[in-house]
Amino acid sequence: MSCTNGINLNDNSIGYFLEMAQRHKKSQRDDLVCRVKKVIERDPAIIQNKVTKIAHEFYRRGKEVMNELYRLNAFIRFDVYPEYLLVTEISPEHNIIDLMFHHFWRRYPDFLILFYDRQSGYLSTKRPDIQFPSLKYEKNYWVFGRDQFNLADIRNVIAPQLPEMFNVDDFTATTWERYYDSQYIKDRKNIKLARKALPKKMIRKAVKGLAYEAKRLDEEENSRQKNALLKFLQS
Amino acid sequence: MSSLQKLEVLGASAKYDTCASTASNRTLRRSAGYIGAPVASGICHSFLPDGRCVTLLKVLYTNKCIHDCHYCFNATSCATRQRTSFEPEELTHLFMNLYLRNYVEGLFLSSGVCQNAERTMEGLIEVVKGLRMKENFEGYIHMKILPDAPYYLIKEGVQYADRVSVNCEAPNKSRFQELSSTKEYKNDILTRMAWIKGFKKKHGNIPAGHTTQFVVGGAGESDRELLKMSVWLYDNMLLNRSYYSAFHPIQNTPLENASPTPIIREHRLYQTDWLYRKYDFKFCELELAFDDNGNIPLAADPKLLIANADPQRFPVEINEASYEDLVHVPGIGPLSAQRVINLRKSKIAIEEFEQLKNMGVVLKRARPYITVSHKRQTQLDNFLEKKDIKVAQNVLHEWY
Repeated sequence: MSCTNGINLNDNSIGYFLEMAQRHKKSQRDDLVCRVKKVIERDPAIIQNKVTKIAHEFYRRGKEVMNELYRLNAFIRFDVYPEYLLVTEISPEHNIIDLMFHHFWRRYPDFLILFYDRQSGYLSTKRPDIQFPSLKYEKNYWVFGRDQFNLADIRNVIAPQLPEMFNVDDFTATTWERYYDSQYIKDRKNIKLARKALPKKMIRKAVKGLAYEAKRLDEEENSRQKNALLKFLQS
Repeated sequence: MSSLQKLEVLGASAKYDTCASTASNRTLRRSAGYIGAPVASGICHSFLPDGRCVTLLKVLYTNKCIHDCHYCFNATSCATRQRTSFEPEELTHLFMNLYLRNYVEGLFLSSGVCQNAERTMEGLIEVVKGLRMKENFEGYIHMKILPDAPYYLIKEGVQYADRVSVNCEAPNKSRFQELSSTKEYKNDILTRMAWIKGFKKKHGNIPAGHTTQFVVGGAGESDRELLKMSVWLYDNMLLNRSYYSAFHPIQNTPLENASPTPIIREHRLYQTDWLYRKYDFKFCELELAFDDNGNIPLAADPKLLIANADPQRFPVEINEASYEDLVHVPGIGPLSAQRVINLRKSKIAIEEFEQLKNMGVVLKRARPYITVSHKRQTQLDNFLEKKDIKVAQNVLHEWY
């Protein structure tokens, strides 16, 4: 049974899907969302109930963006710094960074969240006492080029603004890796289902977040192929 | 033993516990310095090579246990297990480190029964209380209620947990006795469930409700027995969800030589359970899916079996059928049935099968059971797989 945890299949409001479909990378290039808006003005039920192909494509785009948002929120892993700073590298396909900040603000209200990709860094917090006047502010985050600022610079700007530092415990990824391995039930091995849930594309988007999972899946898949080959040779 | 080793041992000890959902609609207290938030739809943070998701930090507080459940590898009779326990603060720190780095969505805390249920429950409550009060953790917590746990401790526990669960393991007393000689079904399990129901109903505690788990095939029970019990629990104990876990024999347990339950049986049970909870099927309708032994045939989808056993209901006219009739059609779920009804309210008639496909209906399954504008599409390909269609086309080509 595939897991649909987190994907709200009942959220059917057109407004929400419009917001999501607009953020799709293809929607920057074509006029599908405009056409959908025109149909909605005339007869919203056509779109709402996915009667036509345009409506179907519109919902598909919305779902793709929702899916990326949901999965990236789940699959990224943070490095924690004493400046109440959580840092990770991401590589999203669609325009979802501001939505990701919304999710993590709620989860870590006292922390600053820093996402970075190859070119830029995106920094945000709900804390009113932390400001970055020299950085450009967009939507709900500060954005900067990676050649302009590095992590040490950011930490130096934050530290003097904090009343106290966060006490970071010793933690290595080994803790997670050992726990992850302890949960695996070999008798239920189902690489196909695991690959469906953790597609390679998503592993790339989460950058380092799923590195261990990807390694383990590859190992298990190789051993499966090896066993199948041995079985074939023996027969 | 180091914390890491304990995590490994007690994590492995909890791996057979099922807890897929992490959805909770609890409102945040937003106390100063709080961390974490439950999500209304839950989140899966990772997936294992067996395809199951890792959502929560799923561990036992201790794997020392006085009970002798024949299927369980934490049972007192299973001598090869390393025995250990967490200190409450040790577990709290481990968990907070994983949560802060976004590895997990919350905590699933279960336990063996060390010495007695009261003492072990106190330990569990110390952990969840520590998380809520000392660490200001506002995220999701699922806590197991141990068999024979006292009333006052359950009452305290439900104040901190989003979800609690008592494991039934078997569908009735006689089956339960085949699995364990140290636990009593009615008193240790059902009475605790009734208390939880009371807390949920009267005090509005437990925002994510309570659940239970069955070991499928451990005591030779039938699917009818399991589903009958689940339905009784849904109706009478306000249970939110039953989980089914296919029995797998574990070395050095009394059932080590028993044959394992096929995983597809677990899947069929979930499908049928879903029909009752989400599709509003009645139990007498579910009965149509059982064979003479009271089991659901593994090779067929239960909804399809029910539809085939009730041919008078079909075909239904898409533009006239009620919601209840629509959800009974294989290939139409609650969401697409609702879309059809919504469209009808907007006075738009469905004229083509293709429209239904766009609306999320699985036409391959639904076609034999529906008409669209009183037209029935009964083509050969309705009943054949793609590869079969090619074979049929080749045969026809050769003939003519």
